[in-house]
Amino acid sequence: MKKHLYFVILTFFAFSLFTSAGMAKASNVDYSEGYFEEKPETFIVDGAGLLTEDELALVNEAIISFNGNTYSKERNFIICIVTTNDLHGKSAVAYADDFYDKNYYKYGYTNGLCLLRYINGNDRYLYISTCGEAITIFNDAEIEFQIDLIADYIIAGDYKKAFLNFIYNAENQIRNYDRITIENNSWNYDDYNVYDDYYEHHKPVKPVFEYEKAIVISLIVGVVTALIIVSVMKSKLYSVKYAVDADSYLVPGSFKVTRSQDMFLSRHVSKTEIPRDSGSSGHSSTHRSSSGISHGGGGRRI
Amino acid sequence: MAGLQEYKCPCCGGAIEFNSDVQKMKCPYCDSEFELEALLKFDNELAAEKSDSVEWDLGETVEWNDSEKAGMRLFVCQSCGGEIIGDENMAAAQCPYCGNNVVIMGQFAGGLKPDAIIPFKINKQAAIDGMSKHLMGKKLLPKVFKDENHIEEVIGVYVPFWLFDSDVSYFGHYKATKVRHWSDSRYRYTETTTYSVSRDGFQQFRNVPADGSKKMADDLMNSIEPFNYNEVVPFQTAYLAGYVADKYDVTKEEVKDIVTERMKFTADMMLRRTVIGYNSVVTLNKSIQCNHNKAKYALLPVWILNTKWNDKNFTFAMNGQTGKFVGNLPLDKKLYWKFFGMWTGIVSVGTFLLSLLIYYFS
Repeated sequence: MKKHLYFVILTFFAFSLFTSAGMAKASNVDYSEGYFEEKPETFIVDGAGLLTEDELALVNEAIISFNGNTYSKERNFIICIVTTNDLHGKSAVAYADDFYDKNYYKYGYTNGLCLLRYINGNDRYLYISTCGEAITIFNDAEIEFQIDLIADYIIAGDYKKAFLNFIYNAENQIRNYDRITIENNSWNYDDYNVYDDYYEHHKPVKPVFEYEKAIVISLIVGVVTALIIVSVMKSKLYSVKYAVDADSYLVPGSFKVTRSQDMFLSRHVSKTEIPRDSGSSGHSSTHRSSSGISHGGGGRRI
Repeated sequence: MAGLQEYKCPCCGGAIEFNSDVQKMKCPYCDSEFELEALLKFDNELAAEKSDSVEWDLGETVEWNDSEKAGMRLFVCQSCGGEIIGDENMAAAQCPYCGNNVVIMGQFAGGLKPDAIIPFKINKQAAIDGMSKHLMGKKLLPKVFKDENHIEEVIGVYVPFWLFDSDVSYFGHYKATKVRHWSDSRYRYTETTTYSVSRDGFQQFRNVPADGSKKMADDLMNSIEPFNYNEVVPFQTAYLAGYVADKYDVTKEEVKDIVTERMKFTADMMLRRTVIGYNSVVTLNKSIQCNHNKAKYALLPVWILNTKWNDKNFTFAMNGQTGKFVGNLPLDKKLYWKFFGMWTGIVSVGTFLLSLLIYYFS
């Protein structure tokens, strides 16, 4: 009887241990499966705990300010950010698409960007998903560029700067795209050193003066020029040469063309295709999410 | 009978010569001047002469070997009895003993009489001055050349030339293309239209020269061209007095081809220039036809200066009518490399400094 009880208590403890572990795991929410029950007021979900409470509030404020500008309000355009340690078996693409569809698209935000930061130990990924008008405004090349701009902050782990820059850069891109007017964004990026840091971070590096190259080129130019000068000086010594022409003995005015015929033989046209510039008139690759909504986007392992 | 004609001043008996400054016969001893017509009578006997009947006075005291003998002639000066040696072509000379100016009339007898002559316009001093001018401004000439070279001789020579006239017809057949480019939003287009082009051209050449003397370097004679044929006068032996002259030893048949090549070059260029409005032209076929060909035999004035420097001989020539001075000069190799090094240094340093400036101010 005592032995029996001992086993039951042991099993109970083991069970609770596992379930608590399991529950701990279960408390890892899948934000991509509809986190909000009504139209959300929050546009950043920090599942991976990368920001402090204050930073979180700050970034949210910045996004809300962006979402309130004239363009975004008119077009129902939003930016949203999600970080997580667990993709719940989905690909980063699917996770980001679903996060956007089920939390924001569902509530009428049909155009927008979603930034996903996945980090689990050494497994990391950064992904941007686009929906609606954002697909054309942020084409494949532009997405790469946007990631480039915040890559250093992401790698360094400075997520506050990374996210604030992301919002700022996205707004710039929209503004520059076909001269869309964005007004009434009262968020002051200057207060948070986003602006300064951006330029500080992306100042064009002045190339180093390549001494060896300069010396070699100078020498070549010197030798060639000297050779030319010296050859001209040498040629002044020589004045005797055979005459090849009889130009001086042509009776002036005696030259005439007695017969002239220009006859058409053939015509040939060839054409070559102009290579397409995949820069400004770039291409956006799209796919459909699980909800059937078209998304664009791109990401990389950083 | 004319064998050796001597030109003696009727006033003082000195050796009279053609003076290029006044363009008359002038006696350097008594300064008397004479028109050339006055001496025409000496030439009148030439017409009756046949070239074969010229007699030579051959001295017996001088021995030559056979080959030399073949080309050499000996003349006896009628004034002093001195022996004048020349080759078989020599037509005018000065007696080295008494300075007498002689013309060997036989060289101009019958068919050998030149059709024309351009008398000397430049005198001997001008020729020597021309040499100094020629040496100026030649930075790669060895500095000592000017001082060290000795002028071995300055001789005024009437060089025999053949002057050719020809009416040249030239025919050219070409393949030419016109290329056009344009593009639309998708493609760049290139249209090539090919044409068959023919041209017939005609032009006249007058007095194309070719020197008729084997011992005169052809390139040297080419280089002093052109002569101004407006100053050509009918030939008179008196012009030769005071100068050296040779009759031709290259026949007009032998130089005809060189002259034709020169005319061909000019005719080809003139015709090719009329094929215009095309992007590319290729010559497929061309031919020349020379009609109404005439060759005149003329004596043209040339000052020859032979100098010696560093055991090397240098020959300079000056056009005795226009004064054009030519002649190749030696190169001072050390100076050449010195200038080369200097300029390399200057330009290299300059380029390097410029690149630094551009870097720091951009």
